[in-house]
Amino acid sequence: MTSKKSSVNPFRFTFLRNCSKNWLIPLAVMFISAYEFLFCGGMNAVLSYLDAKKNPMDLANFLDYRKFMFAAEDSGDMGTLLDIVIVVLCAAYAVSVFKYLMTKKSVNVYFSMGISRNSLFASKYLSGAFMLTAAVVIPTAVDLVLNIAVFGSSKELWISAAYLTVSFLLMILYSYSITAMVCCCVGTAIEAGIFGVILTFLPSITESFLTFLFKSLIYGSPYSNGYFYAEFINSNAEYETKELFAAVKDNLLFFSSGKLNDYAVLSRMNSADKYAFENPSVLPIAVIIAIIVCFTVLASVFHKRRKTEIAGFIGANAVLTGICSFTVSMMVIDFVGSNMISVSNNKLASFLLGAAIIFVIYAIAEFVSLRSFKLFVKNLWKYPIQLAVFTAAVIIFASGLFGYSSKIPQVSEIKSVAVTTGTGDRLTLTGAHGVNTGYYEFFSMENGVTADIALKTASYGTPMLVTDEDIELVTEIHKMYIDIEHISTDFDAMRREFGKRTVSCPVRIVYYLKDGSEFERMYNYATDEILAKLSELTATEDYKKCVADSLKQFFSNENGIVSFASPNFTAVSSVAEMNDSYTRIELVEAIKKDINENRLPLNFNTSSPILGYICLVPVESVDASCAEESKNLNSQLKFVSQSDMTVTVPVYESMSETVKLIEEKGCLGYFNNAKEPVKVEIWTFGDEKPESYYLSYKTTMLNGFWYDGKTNVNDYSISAKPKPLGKTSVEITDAALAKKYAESIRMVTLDCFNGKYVKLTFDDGSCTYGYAPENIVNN
Amino acid sequence: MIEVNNVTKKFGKFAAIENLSFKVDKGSIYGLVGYNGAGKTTLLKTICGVYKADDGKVLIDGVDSFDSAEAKSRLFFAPDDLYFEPYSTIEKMGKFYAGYYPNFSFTTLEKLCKVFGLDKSGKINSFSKGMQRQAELILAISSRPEIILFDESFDGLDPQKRSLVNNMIIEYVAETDCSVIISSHNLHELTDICDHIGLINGKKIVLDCSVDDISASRCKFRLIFNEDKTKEDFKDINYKKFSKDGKIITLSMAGDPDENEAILKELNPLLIEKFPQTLEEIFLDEMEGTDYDFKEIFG
Repeated sequence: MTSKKSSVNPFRFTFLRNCSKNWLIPLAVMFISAYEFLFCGGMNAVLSYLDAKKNPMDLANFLDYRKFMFAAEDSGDMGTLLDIVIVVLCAAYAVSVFKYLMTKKSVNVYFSMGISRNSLFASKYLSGAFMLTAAVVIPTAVDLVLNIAVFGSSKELWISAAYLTVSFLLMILYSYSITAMVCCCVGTAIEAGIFGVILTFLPSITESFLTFLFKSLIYGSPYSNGYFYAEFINSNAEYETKELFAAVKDNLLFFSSGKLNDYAVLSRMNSADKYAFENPSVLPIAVIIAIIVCFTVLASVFHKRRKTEIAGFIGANAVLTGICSFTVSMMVIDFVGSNMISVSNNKLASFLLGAAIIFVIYAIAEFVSLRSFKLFVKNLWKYPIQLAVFTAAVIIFASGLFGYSSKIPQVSEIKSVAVTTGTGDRLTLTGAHGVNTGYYEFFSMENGVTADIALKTASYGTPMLVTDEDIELVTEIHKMYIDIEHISTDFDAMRREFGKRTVSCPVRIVYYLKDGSEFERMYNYATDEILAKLSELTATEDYKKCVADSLKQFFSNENGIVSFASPNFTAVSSVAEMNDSYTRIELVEAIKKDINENRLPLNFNTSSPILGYICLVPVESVDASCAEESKNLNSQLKFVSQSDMTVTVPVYESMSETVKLIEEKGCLGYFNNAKEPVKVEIWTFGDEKPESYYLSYKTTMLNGFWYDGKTNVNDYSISAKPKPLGKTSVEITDAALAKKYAESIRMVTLDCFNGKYVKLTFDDGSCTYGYAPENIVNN
Repeated sequence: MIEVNNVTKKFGKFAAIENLSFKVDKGSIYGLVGYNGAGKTTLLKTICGVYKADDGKVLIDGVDSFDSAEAKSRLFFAPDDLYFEPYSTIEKMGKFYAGYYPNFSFTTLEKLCKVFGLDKSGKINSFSKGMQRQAELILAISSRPEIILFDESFDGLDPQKRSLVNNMIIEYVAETDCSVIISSHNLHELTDICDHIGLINGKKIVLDCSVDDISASRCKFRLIFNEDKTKEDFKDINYKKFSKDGKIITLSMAGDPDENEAILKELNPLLIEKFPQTLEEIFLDEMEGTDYDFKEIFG
């Protein structure tokens, strides 16, 4: 026999062999990466470029407003779904790479050959990582080239390309590495795959479970306790929620692509603007790399110390089986608790249900791995461990998380405080009172919304309560909340007589402490007492300043048309006399003075008679046909009221500066009602379930009036539709009382005052809804 | 040279082999014999580094074989459970092993395929069990290792192929001075090829000597006495096995046959006959007491 001597490099051989044999899954990953980056990024850029090229102006615009389109700006749910698919594929790929550990036959060969365990692991791991890296880098590199071809090379493009590629790659390597580690600890491929995927999702599952515990058991928890707010009054309300681990979770380990989207496209609104580009933070990337390295090192250690005899045996790693079954239990408890039951009302039952869920999943996992009832019974001691962990978590959270629920910072520690009551669609969910607004459309002292309650306006800046007096007022409100911790809220609570109600009302309090940290709490309901206390915030100097500044901003806008509306809205007219910029400034200065003197109807409970409303209607909102008939503003208002910003300032007799100016300009007559109602109906809140009596106007107070009073329902495409008054409504037949109600109606009110809904019906069949505070009627 | 020093391997609480020691010299073919479940496969897997010994060490030319790439690059383990990559051929598997064995010879592979009549390009999965065994043996020899561990590798081979394999191994050992360990529960397979035999029983090597020595050192005596003798009369005799059939007493004894014959003659038998023991008889003698007594069970 002859021998052919050669030198071999087992490491290199293993590496290359794995690359050549294991390419199917990386290919699939590459296709998905290509979709996420290339087709939505570079290819999109090229197609847009080619389209714009047909017209030199378009081309100039196209190139002047963008610097790169590296990926889909907002891939949304589809992007998340694809990310999850990729992560699962990567876990499957790790199993494929390390499948030699899973059968006795392959273990016999691989572990008896001339390659050390460390080299074997390193070559296999690196080859897999190399293939996955190639699967991401190839499409992103092509994407980069296409972007350079279209937009030219720029520092921002290179940084963005590097950041997106690395971020995406880290998500992939995270799943791959953690599954590789699992492969080194278990005996079967099916376990490796399932456990790998479960552990890959562990951060998301844990975060979600803890958030669920916070939401369900921690009174005042801001986590996942969302509220709506709008940056502008008539803009769509955004649902905002504080998220647990927010500082670290905006990355693909948590399937959160917010940061990535920021770097997907660089564009600007007009050529005068600067491109908003910030260098991405390297720290999160470094942390994730460190985590991946840790998993890889652990995998290497487990591989070296692996007891190869476990190959082919299911349930060989009891610790991992326990961790994974408990993780699945957390996920199921979270799902059931968040979607199927009300934990806060049934804590003990919920705990028992949680314990049962843990047992069921534990039992399934144990039966599958042990396949013997006798062994199952013998190993039953493991269940109490899982139950103990769950119980400990529940006890810690249910007992207020070491004082988390009852803590209020010292006033001396607080630099400023913001209170937000939320706005928007919640109104339709929780049964708001008032013509177009609810008690929780108070204001946001943080998000720049002074909101509907005071003025139909948006504010600028971020006003905070900074004086010790104001901060103390907030801490008092906070204390009131802590005192009512165990109060229950349901429809019955809402239907109680005024003063004893507990109503749904999201209230968010954020303290900004002097040490730079934030202290946030969120409550979902309020008593009448708290509502009244909250209303005191509208009298604070900071709030008034915020409203005044906002108003100034709006009235400085040349695009608005100043209009007046009568108290019952039967007369609405444009007021040319006050529409020039000089008079508008005068008007706003007068209102500011009234505000500062507490004469502005920040206090909606004022008994001062209402004279009418000043409306600022954006010019661009008025369609051409209506603009020609500028006198007939009534028809325009119904048009603008649903879509754009309409600033509406109630004018009370007590607003002496404003009234004086209007009188000087000879415009007081515009406030006169055109008609008087022929029928007045009233209805008391709480007589029926909230859903049946709220009026589904979303934000603009004029909606309600103009919708029902001036237009045909069928012709008017507005989603919000006023519901009839409740069945218990009554018609006021006493002419004097009817007149009193008709004169007392307000379009906007706080619900912290007792009162009635009022419906005024006119002879032409149109009607106006309003709200009459009880004290005004009584006066 | 392979040195197994006080090796213990446990699976959980169960010890498959315990404090086991033996040596295999260069150029030696070592037969490892034992009942099913005696620990032969465990021992081989521990030698080649698939299993890590819980105690003791396996040295290959003085180097601990566990996780030593250098030591294991000179060792080929042909397991009982054959491993071939999916849809592979002998040629492809040859390329696989060539990546790990520096001396792998495709010339040898080709020649051996011809000798065994196997198609090196044929899908191994389509081979019969016996053909797959042959393929494994061909790959083992083609890797040209300095140590080969065969675990029940002759199972499923027809007599002609077995003879061919025996010759191939003997030839290879003669040419390369290779150390070979062959495990089997079938003594007949080993007597033709091994120069050393190790009997593994009760987690330990209970007999470890060369085939020549074992034949010379073990002997069976048939004795006839005038009077009726019982086992008690032989209590001073160091025998391995005692049996009695009427007046005929058969004793298996270890040690110098002539010395043992002289000792027995002192008992004044009417007749004494001396027979060499087969390996199978020695194996059964050593396993005495460990096997099931089916007569007792069914009687």
